[in-house]
Amino acid sequence: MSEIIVIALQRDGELRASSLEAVTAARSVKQAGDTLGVVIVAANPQALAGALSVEGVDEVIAVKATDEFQPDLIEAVVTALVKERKPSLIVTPHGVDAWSFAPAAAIKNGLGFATDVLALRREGGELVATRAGYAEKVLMDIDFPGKATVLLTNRTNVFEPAAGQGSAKVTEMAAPAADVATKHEGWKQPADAGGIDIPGSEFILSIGRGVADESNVEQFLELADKMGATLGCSRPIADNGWLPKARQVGQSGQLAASCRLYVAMGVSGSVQHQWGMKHVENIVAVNTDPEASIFSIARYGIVGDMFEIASELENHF
Amino acid sequence: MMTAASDNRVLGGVRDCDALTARVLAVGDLYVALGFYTDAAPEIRSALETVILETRRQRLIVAAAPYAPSDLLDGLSMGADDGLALRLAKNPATPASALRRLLRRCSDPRTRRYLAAHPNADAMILGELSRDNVIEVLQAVAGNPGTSPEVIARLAAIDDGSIQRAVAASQAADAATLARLWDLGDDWVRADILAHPNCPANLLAIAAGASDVRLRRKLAANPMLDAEAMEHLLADPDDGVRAAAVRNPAILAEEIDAKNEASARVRRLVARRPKLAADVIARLARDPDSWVRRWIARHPDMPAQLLMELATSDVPEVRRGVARNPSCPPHLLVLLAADRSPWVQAGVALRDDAPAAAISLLLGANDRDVLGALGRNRNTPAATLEAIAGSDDADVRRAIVFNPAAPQAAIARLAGDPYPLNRAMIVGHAGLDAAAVAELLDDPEPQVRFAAARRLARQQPDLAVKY
Repeated sequence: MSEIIVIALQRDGELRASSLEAVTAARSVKQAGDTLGVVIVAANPQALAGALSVEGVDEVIAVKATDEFQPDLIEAVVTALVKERKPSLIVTPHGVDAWSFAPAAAIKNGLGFATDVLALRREGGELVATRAGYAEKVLMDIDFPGKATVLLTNRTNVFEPAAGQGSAKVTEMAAPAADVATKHEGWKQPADAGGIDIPGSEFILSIGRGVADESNVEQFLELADKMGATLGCSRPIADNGWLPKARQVGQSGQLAASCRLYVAMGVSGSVQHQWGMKHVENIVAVNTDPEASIFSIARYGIVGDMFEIASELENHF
Repeated sequence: MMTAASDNRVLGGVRDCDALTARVLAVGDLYVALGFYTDAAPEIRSALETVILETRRQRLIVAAAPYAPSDLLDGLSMGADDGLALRLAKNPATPASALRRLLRRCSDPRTRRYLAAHPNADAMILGELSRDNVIEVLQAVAGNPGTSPEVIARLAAIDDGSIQRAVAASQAADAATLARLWDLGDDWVRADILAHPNCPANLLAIAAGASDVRLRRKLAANPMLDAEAMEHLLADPDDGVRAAAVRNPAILAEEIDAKNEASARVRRLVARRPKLAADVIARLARDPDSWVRRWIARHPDMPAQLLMELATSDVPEVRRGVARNPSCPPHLLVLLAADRSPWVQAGVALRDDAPAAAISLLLGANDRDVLGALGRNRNTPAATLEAIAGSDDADVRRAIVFNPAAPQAAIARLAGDPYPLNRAMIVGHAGLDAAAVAELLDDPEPQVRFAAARRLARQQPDLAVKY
């Protein structure tokens, strides 16, 4: 019997949806007799406790402090919990918040540690975490022999958000003293994407130089609309002003963070473009050039004309 | 503008061609040496080759690089081992002479497949490979646009679906070959035959009455169909067939009348056609389907009055279509420059023919698409372009690369941009002076160094005559 703790996150007093994904990740390895507690640090943590009291959560630990981003404080909270409760597992969403406190907390407390975890399981009762390695080329199983407590950050948009009404007790925890070495200047909001959500889209149809002319772009907007996909593009298309920059996938564009099916039509697959999509599990590439780099990362490849393939697809939707 | 040939200032520590070459050799940078190679005199090339081909790893990089000079690839093909041969066979820049050399001692079927598919493979190579005993090699020969009609005719007799489909799609397939293939192939092969411009007339006639819509759809795409056949297909009950007919470039404007067309999909395709009768354009401009209006709003033959009407549409993409229409009158561009949608504004900002009043309305914008479009526009004031070059958005800053009228200050800023791609791309800007280009020879990014060396080499006529 052991305790599992989720570090929930808030932004300006609003609960981050990814917190409930971390609860699902934690629940997936909860064993008989284990308890699951969720910690929330905020100016008014009680106001967020209800949303965290979902099925499977036994306790919500409310730490009254500040709504400001304060990684040193969360690091101190983790340290205090490890010392007082000796949890077997701590889970928190992978992202800018966790990057700022999780590695330091793991080192200072001698925790087992893995980031950007995609899946969790028990093998003979022992925890095994799966994460990607070598730029998403391989999946690695990681175990933590000899570690009494393991800290994991879970990849967002992989675990379903926890749901179902729970009946967790709410416990107050005094904010521990923190050695504050950082100062948060403020959040910079991403540019208004006009309703275009590449990071949140599960199905992206992307076009590249092969589209050849601005007058042809509309055809693929229409096709994406019919197929229920979000239209993305490679850099030259956005550089030409043929599609909004919010649709650009790549290093200086958007990350296809939630994508499960990426259809790349007329995209050569530059390093910059691959940065934004090579992690996607199902990539379908259409290109007239059989040597296009995109084929090296595609699960399915069609050497052919993107317009011909698009016409065929139109017959099916 | 100052060019390297007439520039007597120090170019990153280099004063002349001799010193430039000496520096390239001393530094031993593969990418700088590659950039200089094509425009160098034979003696300099020999010296550069010692840098470029120094290690096996570098030889493998060069063999696979599509930007590598063909002469260098030709030299690499001499005595190439299997690994090098495979990379050369895959490289689209490898010349025919090198491909022939590789073929003479090629035992690896994978390499032969790439040779068979290579765009520079000549008749001799394709003829020899068409007798290969590996099916994948034969498929590649059949799919190569350079394969002769005689070879295509021979391949058509092989009982392989992939080869037969490739033959059916080959522009080199003549009517006799297609007629023989019709009896041998399956329905997919027959469908491809029907779309072929050399398809025999009797097969076209048979297909017109086929019950299989795949056949009729492909038939409707055949560019050699006569007016009667086209009229018949335009009335087909299947909207996929009608769509293919409308897409067919052979169809004449007067043959298209979408008045009674129930399918929005077909009307959208009609609206895309470059030539349409005035009454068809007018009807489509008021079509209930917004995609039809989006398409027709871009039609170059759209009269100003209808453009004005579409410019008041509730659908931003329709208004964007008007903003991108080459026939959009200046006063309408001014109106659209003040549109509530930034995407419509960006459509105006992209136009070099936008009146000054339209551009000035956009100067206070902070939307990244509008700023990116202004950054490309040669009529944007210099102060705005300099501000765009200093944007905190790498994609917005890059717009300066595409603006031939960008001021020196903006260009210089891009040469020091923190995003490597922006530095690599600004190297191609005519306004970047030679001294700045020379400094980029020391850039940490290989693509920037290569681009800088390539440009300097082109601007250094001395490089070709020295030694």
